[in-house]
Amino acid sequence: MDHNLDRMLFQLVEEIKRIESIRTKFGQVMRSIKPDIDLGRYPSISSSLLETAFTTTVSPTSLSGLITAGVDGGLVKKRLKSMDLILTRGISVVFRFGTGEGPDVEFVPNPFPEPIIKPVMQSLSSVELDQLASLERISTEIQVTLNLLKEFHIDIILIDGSLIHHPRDRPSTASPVYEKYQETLALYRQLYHKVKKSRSTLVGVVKDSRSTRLVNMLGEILPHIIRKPEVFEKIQGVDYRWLLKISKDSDLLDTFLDEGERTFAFRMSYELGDNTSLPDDIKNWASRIWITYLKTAREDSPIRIEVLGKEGVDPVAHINKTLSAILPLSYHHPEYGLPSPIVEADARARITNHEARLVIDRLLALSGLSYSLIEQRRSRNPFGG
Amino acid sequence: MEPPHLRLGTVICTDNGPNVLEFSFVTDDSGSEVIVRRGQFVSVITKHGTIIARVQNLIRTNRYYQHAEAVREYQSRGEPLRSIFPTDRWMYTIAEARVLGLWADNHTTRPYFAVSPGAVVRPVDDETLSSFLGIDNHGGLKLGTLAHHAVEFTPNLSGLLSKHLAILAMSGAGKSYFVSVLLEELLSRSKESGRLATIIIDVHGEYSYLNEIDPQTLGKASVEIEHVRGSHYQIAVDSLTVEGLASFAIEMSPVQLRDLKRIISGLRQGFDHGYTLKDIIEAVRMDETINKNTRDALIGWISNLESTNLFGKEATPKIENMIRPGKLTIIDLSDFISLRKKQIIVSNLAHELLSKRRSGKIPPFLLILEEAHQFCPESRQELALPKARIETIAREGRKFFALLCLISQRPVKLSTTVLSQCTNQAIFRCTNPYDLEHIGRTSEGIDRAALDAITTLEVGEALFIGECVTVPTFVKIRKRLYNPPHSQTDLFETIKKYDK
Repeated sequence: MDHNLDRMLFQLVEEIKRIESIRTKFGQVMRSIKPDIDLGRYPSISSSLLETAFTTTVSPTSLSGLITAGVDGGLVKKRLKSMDLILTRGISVVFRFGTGEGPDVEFVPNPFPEPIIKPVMQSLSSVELDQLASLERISTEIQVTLNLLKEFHIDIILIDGSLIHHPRDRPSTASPVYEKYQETLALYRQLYHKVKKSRSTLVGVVKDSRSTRLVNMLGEILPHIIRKPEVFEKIQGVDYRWLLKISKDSDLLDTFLDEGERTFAFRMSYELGDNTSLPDDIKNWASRIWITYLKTAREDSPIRIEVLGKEGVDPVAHINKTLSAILPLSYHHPEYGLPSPIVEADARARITNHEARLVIDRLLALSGLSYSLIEQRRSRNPFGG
Repeated sequence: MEPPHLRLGTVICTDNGPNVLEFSFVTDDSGSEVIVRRGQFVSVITKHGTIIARVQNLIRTNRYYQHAEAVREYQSRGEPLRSIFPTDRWMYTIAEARVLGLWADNHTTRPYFAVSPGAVVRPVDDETLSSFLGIDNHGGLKLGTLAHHAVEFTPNLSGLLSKHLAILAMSGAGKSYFVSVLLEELLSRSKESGRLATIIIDVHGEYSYLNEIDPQTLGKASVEIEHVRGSHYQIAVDSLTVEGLASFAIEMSPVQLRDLKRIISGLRQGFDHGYTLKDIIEAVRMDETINKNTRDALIGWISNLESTNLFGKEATPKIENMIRPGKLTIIDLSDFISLRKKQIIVSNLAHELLSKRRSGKIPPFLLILEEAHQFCPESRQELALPKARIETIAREGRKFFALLCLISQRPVKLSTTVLSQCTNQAIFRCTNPYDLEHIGRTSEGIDRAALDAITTLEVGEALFIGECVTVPTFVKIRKRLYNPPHSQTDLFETIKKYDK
């Protein structure tokens, strides 16, 4: 091993150890003070919140009688010489829990749907192609969810990912992708309306959230909390400001949330802020989406859960009820706390490289073109790789 | 969409298949049912003909159970994976099939191409299967049905017996039962379909019940069966050559042989109506030209032979009378404890049968030899008097239709020469690794998978290999038409009977 590389890795290890040490100490402090945090005392954030407790314990409910669905979409991009191909596949798995051994399962549209192929003839930049691909996947997922709502009465619909697109998926108004963006927003509107009219609860389950909104909130209230001498004494020597700057919500929460515990819920509109370029009606919907983090598995970081509120229903009660069903779907594996319908949907939605290769091969067979005419040079390396 | 019963599955790609010799297919079952079985014949229809294959192995797979650590962790709360996942929806069965041949234009050819991935795998229709395996549906011996198929296994007489048959199995696997079925089939044959004379060496008296068989159970007005007790068997001394007599002795010296030859030559001239062993002893004693040591040895050896009570002036029964087309002769040796007596009878009978068949004095016959490893063992030549004679029938008998059917529960102890001459073999359940290895070495056309399958055969199930079938074939032996009336096979029943 190269000495320079060794040295670099050693430094990295030291840095990781330092961060983990600070994070652990911070977690110990938070664990001891979390029951006493009263969020109502901090006006800067309390207007966006419904609860004053920092954490709440969720009680798992019996799954018997529950009808829940997991929705996921698979995506593969293929860059060819004269065009790009976007392959998506959306699927929903419906779990019907009864008194039997396990759930009865149905699939929308079917257990193994074929991928949808979207050719892209326009010349797009890499960023635009990424945006388009992401919007295609979202559209496919929403379409599947809309079809699901047509065919079934579902108690809880679990969508893999956020209930609203990521800001980076929004193209500029001049971009050729903008039209697709508008289409996707229209689908979001349809989805929210449909869910509103149904008795279903729409939930977004974000696997690996990179959000820092909750950390920022903590940054706002911690200076007030540590004014108490007993808290100050505990946190003395812990560089929490620096830690808050470098941490994501789920990483930080992992240090002090217990299994089955969730954080206070806050509105998605609060996370998006005032500067978002979303249309007003979508912003309105965003204000009805509540975000919380739930620690489902002992050795896994909390998952971000977004719940679309129901009109006329107490949001806190609604969130607790929903999470009390999500928890027993997720807590079986101590190191992997995702709800089982999402795990099943993910397995079926995934488009493998092999499958994408079959599509390309079929395209070549039908068109009579050769690999060299259609494939980019990077894919044709005669030595492989 | 085809009717489901016409499809068994679809050929898939594997690391080395499909190739000319094997392919794998994913079965169409829903997970809980079994539509394809190990050992079952399957087919793939191609434009060049129908590929016939046999399922060698079945593998069940499920992505939810592929990672041991995930299975354990998910079940750490005490609930099975099935409680939260649709594990049953990911259950697949992969069948590994070995190609046996290509059936085209009503005959079998060697496969020369690989089936295509995606090809539909179907059951083989009964008629094609019978033809492919070379089963004679008209006039064959109805021995059972093919395992996993509703096709009767009816090999023709010539195919099954004309090049000797070996029946190999561990104890209790169904050898004797199968022999009973075979005997029923041979007895029920009509004159027109060809009848074989059958002689069975019944070491344990298991077949004497056939003497009481009601011919109507075999669909005949009468059957001819002769039951000969071993104690009634007598060898005519004057029919034996010196070499024949000497074959019952262990290592007779050339000097002894020469002197004995001279003595017997003299007796033949002096006794017109035959002579006995006592006559030979007396002649040896009276002959002054014989060296004293040789005389004592000869007298001792012949006296020993005389004490068996198997020798006399007349042969009983007469071979020429005993061997007739369609007749079964049971030589019941269960009276004897002495292995030597049994061996002397078998040795003499084997010799007489072959020589008389050679000279055309008796019709073609089948000699069924129970416990064959006692009579022609692979080792301990000195203790196996009939070995050379049985080996002679094995080597040369087929030319004269002097046929052998050897039965053994210890194939490893059976003469390799004899076993390798048995072109057909019916192998029942056998678990002894040495026996299996021996079967594998001496049987052409038996592959590893078939050998492995022998250990898992049920009682009454046999693997037939050889010329009677195109490919090794698993057969469920049919029920006997006539059962022994007083058979006691159950220990419990037997001890109850004695403990009244």
